[in-house]
Amino acid sequence: MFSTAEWVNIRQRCVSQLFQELRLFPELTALENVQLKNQLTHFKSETQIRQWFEQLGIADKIDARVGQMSFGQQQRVAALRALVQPFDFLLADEPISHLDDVNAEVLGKLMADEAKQQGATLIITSIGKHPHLLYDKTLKL
Amino acid sequence: MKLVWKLLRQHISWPQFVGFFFANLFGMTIVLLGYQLYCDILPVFTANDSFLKADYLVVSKRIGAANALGAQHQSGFSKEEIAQLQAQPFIKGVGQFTATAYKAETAMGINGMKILSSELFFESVPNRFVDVSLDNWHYVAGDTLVPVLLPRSYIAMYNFGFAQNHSLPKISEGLVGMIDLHIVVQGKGAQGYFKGKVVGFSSKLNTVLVPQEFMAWSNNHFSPGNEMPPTRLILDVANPSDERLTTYLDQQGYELEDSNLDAEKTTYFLRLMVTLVMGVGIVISALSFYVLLLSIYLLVQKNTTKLQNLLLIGYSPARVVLPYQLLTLTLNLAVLIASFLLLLVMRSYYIDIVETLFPNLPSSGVLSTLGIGLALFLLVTGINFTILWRKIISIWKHGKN
Repeated sequence: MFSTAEWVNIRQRCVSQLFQELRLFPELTALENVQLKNQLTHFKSETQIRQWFEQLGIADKIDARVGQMSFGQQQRVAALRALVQPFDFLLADEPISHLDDVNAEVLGKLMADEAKQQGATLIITSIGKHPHLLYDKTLKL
Repeated sequence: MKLVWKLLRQHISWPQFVGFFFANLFGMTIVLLGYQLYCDILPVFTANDSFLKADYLVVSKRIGAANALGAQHQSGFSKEEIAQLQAQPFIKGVGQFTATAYKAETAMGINGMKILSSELFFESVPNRFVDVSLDNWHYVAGDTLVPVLLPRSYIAMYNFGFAQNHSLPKISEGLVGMIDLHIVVQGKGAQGYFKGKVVGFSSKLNTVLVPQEFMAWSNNHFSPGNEMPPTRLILDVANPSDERLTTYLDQQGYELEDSNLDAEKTTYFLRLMVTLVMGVGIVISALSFYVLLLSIYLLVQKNTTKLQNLLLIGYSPARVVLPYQLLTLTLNLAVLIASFLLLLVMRSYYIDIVETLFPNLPSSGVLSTLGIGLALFLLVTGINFTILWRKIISIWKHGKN
């Protein structure tokens, strides 16, 4: 059994989760949501974060309250939040379920690149739509 | 940290918190004030008279119409009456007040300024009833310097009457040196000048007390052969609140001169009042603290989802509970400081009066009250912290439930 401190460490530095239900904070802005995570480890710079917002097409929403965004936009914010930490495993639960094809590809590539850079494992679940990446293994449950 | 606070402060109702602040303030102030009042005023009743010990009582004969009209010789205690008193089981010893049998013109001044001049009479009791060290309370026949004890009522009268109106210094135990007493005695064929040295004050006296040796010598010197039966006796009792004592005195028609028994009743009443007040204060404090606790608990409850999310993205329980802990800590600290300041303000109103009336009162200060406030604050904050921590840990372990 892990202790509290060990669990905290795991969540901060070893395992990153992108939840199916997102678990964002609607009262905060998109940027604040990501920063809330980033300030734990200061893993990414603000410049990098803003660049990612651009890449995913939600740069105009960066200071908007998450509660006022569409689910697809929220999904992209949640994904970015999952990327601003060091990880050995990135668990993405239906990450592109509400994205159009273009954004889906961009996000997929983003996650894969980050995982490769960190030498980490990317695990994605989906019930149909999934990014087209070179997966090492696919499990059909 | 700012982001976490921004996130968690959403459900706080600030008017509600202001309400809690005042409720807690009210409770805490009552508790502190009650305790402080008790500390300040109790010595008035229990501080032992420094010169006549607590267990000595003064009795005199009740003044009836016959006595008042001039049958003087019957107004004293006869030898039989004294012997009878001595024989009572609850009385350990009896001493007589001996009065001057001559005229004594006394001029009293403070720091050179004459305050009063009058024909006074002195009294004395056997030395064992007087609690002054022999250095201060002895008289050698023929000396012109006589140690005296003054009634406290003289000093209260002076402090309240003269001193305040003429901007003169107020007298306290330590300033007895300021009092000058000049005594001129006129007796049968002899005259004497004496200087009185005030050794202290007693609340049991209402006349000026001189050493027994001086009394014996001066009575003999200025007014020989004028033995009068004592009009007042001083009793050494085992227990001043003994009921048999009061019954016996009533039966015999004796009057208890000092206020000791009254003081005991007053002390009891004072204690009762203060206990009530403090009790009420504590109840109010406890209730308002409980309500505050509930409201913070509710706040945590409303934010359970957010707290859980924070924990899931990697925040430790300690970091997550911190804003709430700081909130309670600040609130409780503010209550402590504010109530203490309030206490000081209220105290400044009554302490002047107490100090003027009783200048020698041992000053208790406010430190012990501050201690009580601190203890209360630590207790309350500690309980708050524990409950908050437990709640967070339960969210950590069991999720939303």
